[in-house]
Amino acid sequence: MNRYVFLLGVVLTGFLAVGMFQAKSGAERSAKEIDRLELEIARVKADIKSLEDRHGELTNPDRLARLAKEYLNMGPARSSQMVDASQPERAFGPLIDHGGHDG
Amino acid sequence: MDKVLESEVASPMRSRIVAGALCACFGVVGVKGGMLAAFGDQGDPVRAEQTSEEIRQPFRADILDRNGARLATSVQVISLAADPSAIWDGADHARQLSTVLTDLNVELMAERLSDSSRKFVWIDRDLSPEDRQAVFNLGLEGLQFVEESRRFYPKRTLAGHVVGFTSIDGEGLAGIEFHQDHRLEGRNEPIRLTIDSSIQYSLEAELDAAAVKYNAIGGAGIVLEASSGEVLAMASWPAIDPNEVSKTTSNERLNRASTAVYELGSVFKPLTIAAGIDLGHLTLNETFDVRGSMQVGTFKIQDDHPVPGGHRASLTAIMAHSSNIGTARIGLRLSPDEHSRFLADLGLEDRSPVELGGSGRPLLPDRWGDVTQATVSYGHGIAVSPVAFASAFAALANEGDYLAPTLLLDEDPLGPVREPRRVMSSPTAQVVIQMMRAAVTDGTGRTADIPGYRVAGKTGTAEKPIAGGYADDRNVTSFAAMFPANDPQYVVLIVLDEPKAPDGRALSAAFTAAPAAGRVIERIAPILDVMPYFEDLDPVGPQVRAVSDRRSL
Repeated sequence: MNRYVFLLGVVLTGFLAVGMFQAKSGAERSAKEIDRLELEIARVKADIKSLEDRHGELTNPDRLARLAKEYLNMGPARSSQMVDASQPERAFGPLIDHGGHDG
Repeated sequence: MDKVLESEVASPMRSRIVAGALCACFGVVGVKGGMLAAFGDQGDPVRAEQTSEEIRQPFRADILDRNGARLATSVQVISLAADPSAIWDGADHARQLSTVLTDLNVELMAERLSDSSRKFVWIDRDLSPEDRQAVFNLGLEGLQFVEESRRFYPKRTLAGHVVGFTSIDGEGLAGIEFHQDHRLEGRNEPIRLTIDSSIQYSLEAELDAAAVKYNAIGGAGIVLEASSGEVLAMASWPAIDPNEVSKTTSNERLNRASTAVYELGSVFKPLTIAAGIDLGHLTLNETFDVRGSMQVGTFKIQDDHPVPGGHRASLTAIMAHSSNIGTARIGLRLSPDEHSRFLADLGLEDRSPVELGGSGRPLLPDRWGDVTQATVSYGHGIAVSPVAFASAFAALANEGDYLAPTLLLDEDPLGPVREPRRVMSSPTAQVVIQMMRAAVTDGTGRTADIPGYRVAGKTGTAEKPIAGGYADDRNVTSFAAMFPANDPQYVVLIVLDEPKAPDGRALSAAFTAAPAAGRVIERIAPILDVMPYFEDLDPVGPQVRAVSDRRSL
């Protein structure tokens, strides 16, 4: 009887050892994967920041104004180029009155 | 069976050893499991260090404009340092390094690297990748590359004076970088300014154009939202690039919009007239004698140009034609205490509370007498910073309520409310605005009249004070404007220091600051959703579709 208990103990210990080893290995793999993902996130964030900095430089109003002038011959809008929505006549002339002419 | 029993009996010690080993194994497993359950996985300290190294964040927060555009940020750079105690021949190191780092002071570096009592010496900061590789290829002992955070200003000169700059060690030295150093240091939460990059650029471009055209020695410009006191744009000319601040002079680094103080001249007249009306010393249909000159004590006051229409002038005519005599007569009706208190309520007797280091302290009269009151009424004998004046002037546009100017966008709806201070009644403010509209349509400010935007404003031409008097060949010209006059929302102030004609003659505001302010308004009004409204309805035809503008940028 004692021998069976002993054998059972050995088998159980073996299972426990293997299970613990697998659990630890799995945890280590997961930790490494988390580290890798964190590093990747950090790198992507750094890339995003770098791109945003570059975007900030490229969208500098001074640069955009020079490009608009050079390639599109565009400059600041004059008041005569703007029309208030309440004054369409200013752009298109007197409005045509269709009232009372139907039928 | 008997054999087995015999062996068990024969070696009880062996059974105990095996049982003990099993208990120890279970014990270890149990303790480890318990620790894992209780505290979790503590991880590998070396690995954690590597991770934190990789994901290290910049140590200084970004500065953004009101729309989120980045005005200042931090970037990682590589610098070169040395441990002199680990260097055998410091002079040889310095010589070899100088072949790569051409700006290196060889003698000084040799001395530092030869001092074996030191453990750390900076050799060069912010290395280029090429220099870094070249230094690496030298293979010298005792050197180390250090990763540092460095301030970078992606918009270059845009709002350079407002944003300010830091020292090479990241300590705020000027502008918002200085004033908000405690909020920027060691944090990642950005600071959002009230500045609008588009409006800022428009202001800077027109200020630069005017300053260059009129050979000014300096200039300043401000755009304020009247109802909130928010500074939408603030410019000082010449501009600076905070990325290259070491190449600038102290004169260039001076923020003329907030640190410098000027006698601004006749732009004070609307404030004097408002005080006179609001304190009940004037009636609106009153006229004043503006003939010849006016003697106040030993001081003679005269107008540059006679006011058209006779010897007596209405309040509107005094404003429109900028009569010093008429304004001095109004100023003298106020008691010294009333006059001083009115200016104090407008924030003109203290430093402007705008969030910039070194806001200019106003230069006020030592004592208020008749002469002082007369001259201060038209903006002489009192020197204030442009930002202080702009916020005082904005009280007129804000129906008589003064709001301190601010550069920090309030993003906390539960934060403290910025309380306005009632300085004058709303009807008083409206009457004065109508007078300033007349100054633009029929008076000295005609060059600022942009069709459709209904600009109201006042010119100011002040001779610069010199020892013993004023220089008649050196002016400070200014134009304070608000638009649209029927419902003023925005204030624009342009100041030019010593604008000159090509022949060296000093120019007045009507030819310098006023047209510059008009051009600023024409550029920023569409950005601010202020559409032009025309009294006449003549169609403009194809111009509406035109997008090109041959005007020089």
